[in-house]
Amino acid sequence: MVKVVLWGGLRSKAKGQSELQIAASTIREMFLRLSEDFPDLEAELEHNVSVAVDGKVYRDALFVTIDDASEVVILPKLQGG
Amino acid sequence: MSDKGLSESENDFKVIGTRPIRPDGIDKVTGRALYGADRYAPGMLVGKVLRSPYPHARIRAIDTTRAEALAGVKAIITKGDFGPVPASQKATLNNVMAQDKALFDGHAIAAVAAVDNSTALKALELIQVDYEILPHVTDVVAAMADDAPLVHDDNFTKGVEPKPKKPSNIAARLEFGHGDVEAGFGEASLIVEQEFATEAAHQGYIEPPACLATYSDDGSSELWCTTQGHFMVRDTCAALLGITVSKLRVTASEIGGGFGGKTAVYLEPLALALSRKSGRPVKMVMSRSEVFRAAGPTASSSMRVKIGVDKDGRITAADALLNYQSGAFPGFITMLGAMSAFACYNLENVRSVGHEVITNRPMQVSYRAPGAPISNFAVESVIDELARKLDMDPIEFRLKNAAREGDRSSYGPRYEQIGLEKTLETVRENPHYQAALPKGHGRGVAVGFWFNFGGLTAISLNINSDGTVTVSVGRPDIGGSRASMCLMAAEELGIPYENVRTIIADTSSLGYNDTTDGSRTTFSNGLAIIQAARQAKSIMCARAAKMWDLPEEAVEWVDGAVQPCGPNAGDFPAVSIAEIAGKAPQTGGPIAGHCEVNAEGAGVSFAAHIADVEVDEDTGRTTVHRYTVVQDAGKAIHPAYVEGQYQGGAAQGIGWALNEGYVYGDDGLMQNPGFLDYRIPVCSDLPMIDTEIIEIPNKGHPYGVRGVGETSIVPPLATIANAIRSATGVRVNQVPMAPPVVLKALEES
Repeated sequence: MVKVVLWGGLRSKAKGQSELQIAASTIREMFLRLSEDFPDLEAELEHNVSVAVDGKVYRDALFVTIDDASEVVILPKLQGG
Repeated sequence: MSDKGLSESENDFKVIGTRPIRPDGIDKVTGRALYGADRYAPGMLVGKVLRSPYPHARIRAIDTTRAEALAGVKAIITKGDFGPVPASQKATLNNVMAQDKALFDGHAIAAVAAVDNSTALKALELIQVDYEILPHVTDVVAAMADDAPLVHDDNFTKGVEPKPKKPSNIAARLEFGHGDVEAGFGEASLIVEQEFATEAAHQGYIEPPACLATYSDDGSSELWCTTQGHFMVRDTCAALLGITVSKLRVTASEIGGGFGGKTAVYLEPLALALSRKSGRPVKMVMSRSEVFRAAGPTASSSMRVKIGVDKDGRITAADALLNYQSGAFPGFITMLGAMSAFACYNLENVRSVGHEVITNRPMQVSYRAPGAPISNFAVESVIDELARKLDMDPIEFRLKNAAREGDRSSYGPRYEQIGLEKTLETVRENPHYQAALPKGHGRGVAVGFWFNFGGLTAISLNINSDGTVTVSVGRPDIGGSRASMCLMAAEELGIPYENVRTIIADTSSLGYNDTTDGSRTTFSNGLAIIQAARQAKSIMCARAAKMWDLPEEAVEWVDGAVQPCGPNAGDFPAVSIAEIAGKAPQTGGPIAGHCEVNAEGAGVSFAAHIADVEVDEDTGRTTVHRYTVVQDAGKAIHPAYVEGQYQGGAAQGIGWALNEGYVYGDDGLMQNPGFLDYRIPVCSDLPMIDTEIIEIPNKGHPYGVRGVGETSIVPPLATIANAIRSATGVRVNQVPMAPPVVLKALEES
């Protein structure tokens, strides 16, 4: 099970939870599992998030692998100027 | 083929780190470079925009009859000439052409194309708009009040539970952090809590938005424009006008400054719509007044920051409430301000809450590290106060609490290898920090953070018949990036810098490239160029091996040539890139490398600034006598341009700190839409800005590159405030710290 941390704004869509345990081997699988468990998250995960895996931030990378030792943080989608 | 691999040590570089002349320099100093307003087309019309004279008004009717009857008028467009558009583009369309309401002073209501400038202006006067004037709000605090005029009566705050039943001007509430902030404050022996405000600042680019649109009878169209992202312009315009993406080709002109301000469309969809309607090419150029009134500044803000420390100077808790004024539409700058607020520190208990507040002002647009300088001003001012109260050196206090590799950032992820500690240590040893202060001067320091991004990148690298190289990239060069691209291609191929030319290709020539923003270009273009060069080298090695009847693994690429390697390779003289390229027709055809990638792995960066100032206590005027930037670049590909980015960010930040700010009257109209009244710093306002480059490599890039373009604007607001505090003993909590503001603070102290 991968430990997934949600940023504050997402917690309300995950029944108030800030940390979750998810069985997934890629970011895509993680999104699918989260969307199944928390349907309100689906639209956010589809369009509005970046994902940090062990400190490395990915904006759009569904096939990045994760494992039980990974620390995954879901962030808002980052944009610059 | 053997290769040196992804990890090159600094000592291996031959051209990376040198300072050659920029390839676009001669064109720019001789006037040959073509900017947004420099293109002409046969039969070209002039396009002009009718803008709202009210900050908030319902548009009951628009009568264009008299304007259309004016000789020389070829087309007039209003909201009816666009859409329908996807939900994701509705705000963009509303920003470039008002729909049911004018939402800010300067909001576009209609546009005209005519045979010349004077006819177009006369036509604007003949358009009759029936407005119902509505109450307006331009101040962030006033906009949050329960009885504030509603900019959008269907806006319900996102991010709060339960969902509000009543609309408001607060578009979103965002929260970041971890730990138990209240418990952390309970452990503190000293707490500082203060309130701050900043006014909106404009990006201040010298070249206004400008474009030339040509819409053909067959539906294909061409657009020439000044922008930071011509692929973004293409896709946005195609959506707004209902054009198939492949039918619209956008070419980016040279750009006279962007700084985030040219990451949105303004005139481009209007020019295309006018061209479509008139059947003629249409050129549009904004006046400076239009730029200020309608081509977005960054946010203004109202903030409260509270930080507690224990008796040893260790931060026990940090909390921020950040209310950002977002203009007439929701954006993303509040989020970035809240995420970055405490990113410099290793904190067990931290929270930052942002409110994104809609007002009757132009849509906020990115400005160099969008949102970060604002929250940093508040946080670093409180950090300075804490160091003073603890009687600690401000650098030592920051070192004690600095984020390091493995620490959990205040916005979530743990840091990989970062350079904040090294940056602070370098400041401590810097001659500026070591120098004695003249009497009456004050010294301030502050640190700053920026994320830096990668993103969608497509490049093409062609080996020409003489062995020179042409690199086609898809991001406009806003900071000298072509030189850096040439350096990385030359380094990887082992050829002279002068043998590489980099061009900015149009949108029909490459796959999608994300906009030149987020300090991504040198990182992600460079990553792609290195991969493409390695692909081209692999092809050239294979060609040479075939000519020698050797297996590919029996040759290697060294210094721009292929040579045999290994015990059984034989003794052939090396063949150069020029020789291989010359034989390309006979050995398999043209040689090129390509890379299409979503570049991930951008590395965050940190900066620390030092300022010495003097304050005239009779006038409140602040003079900056000395200024130094120390920043981590990961690896400086072209150190002169890295230094230029450091200096440019600092100069803009000093301007924001001391003078720049939007002024709105009670009538909701901008009072200072010009460079005479909105004062950006000129050379005589600034000292030489010294720089020191730190290089802590980013492991996500083959050469260690981190973005450098944005971090440098983050610390100046607080650095100047802390220096004023040092010089006068007075804390100024309001930006800009213009003479009247400082004088008032001095008088009240």
